[in-house]
Amino acid sequence: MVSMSEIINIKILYFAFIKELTGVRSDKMKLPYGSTIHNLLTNILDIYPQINNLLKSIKVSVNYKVVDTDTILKDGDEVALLPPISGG
Amino acid sequence: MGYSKKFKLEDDPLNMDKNKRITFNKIDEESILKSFDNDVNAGKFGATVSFLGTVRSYSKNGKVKDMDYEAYLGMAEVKIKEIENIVKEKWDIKKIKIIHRLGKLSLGEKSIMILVSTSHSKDAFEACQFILERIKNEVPIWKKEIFLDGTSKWIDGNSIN
Repeated sequence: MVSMSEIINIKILYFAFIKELTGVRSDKMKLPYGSTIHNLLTNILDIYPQINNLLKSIKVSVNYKVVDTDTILKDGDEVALLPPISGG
Repeated sequence: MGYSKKFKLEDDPLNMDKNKRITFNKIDEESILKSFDNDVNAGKFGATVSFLGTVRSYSKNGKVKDMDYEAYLGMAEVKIKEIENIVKEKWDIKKIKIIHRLGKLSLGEKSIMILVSTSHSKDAFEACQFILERIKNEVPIWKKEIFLDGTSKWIDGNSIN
C-alpha cells in the first residue's frame, strides 16, 4: 500500500492553444514521490492525447521557472505548459 | 498513479486591476505620462522614451478585427519585475513604467506601454528597446488574432526563455 508521503500533489495550468485543446484551464494530479516533468507529461498525454503533436513546441515551468523535463517535482508544485509566447 | 477530477474554469485569484504591470482595463496613456510630469518639471530626467504597442488591422494571416491577449498572470508579473530590475542594473534608470493589457482589444487599442526616463537619450532608447525584446521572449503572454471572417489564430510566437 502506498503511503500518503509517497504521493505528491501537482497543479497544472494550460494556456492559449493548449488550453483550447484540453478544454480546461487547469488540472490537479497526484503522482508518485520522485516523479519528473517527463512523468507528468506522459500522464497528461494519457488524458489529452490530442496535444501530443504540440508538446514539442512547448516549454514547461515549475513555480514560475522554465525547467527541463528531467526536473523532479515536489508536493505543491505549480506546473504550466507554455506554448510559444507573443506578448508586447 | 492517480488522477484527480478535471477542474473547469477557475476564478482568477488575482485582482488584476490593482496590478500596475498587467491590466484588463484600457491603458490610460495620458495619466501615465502625467505621472512622470512632476519629476520632469523638477529636472530629474534628461530623456524620456515612450513606446506604445497597438492593434493593427493587417497581418500575414489576414485582416484583423480584434486581438485577444491572455497571460499566466503570476509568472508574467514576476517576469516583468525581473526585467525592470535588470534594466535598472544595466542603465541609469530614473523612472520606469511598464503596463501590458489583457483581454479582447479592438483595432488601434493599446496593448502595451513602456515609459523609461534616464539622464541621457541613448540610455532611454536602448533600455526601452531592451524591455520590449525581453517581454517578447520572457513573459508568458499570448495573443490570438480574430479575423473579419470570424476565424482566429494564435500568433506563432517565441519559445519562452
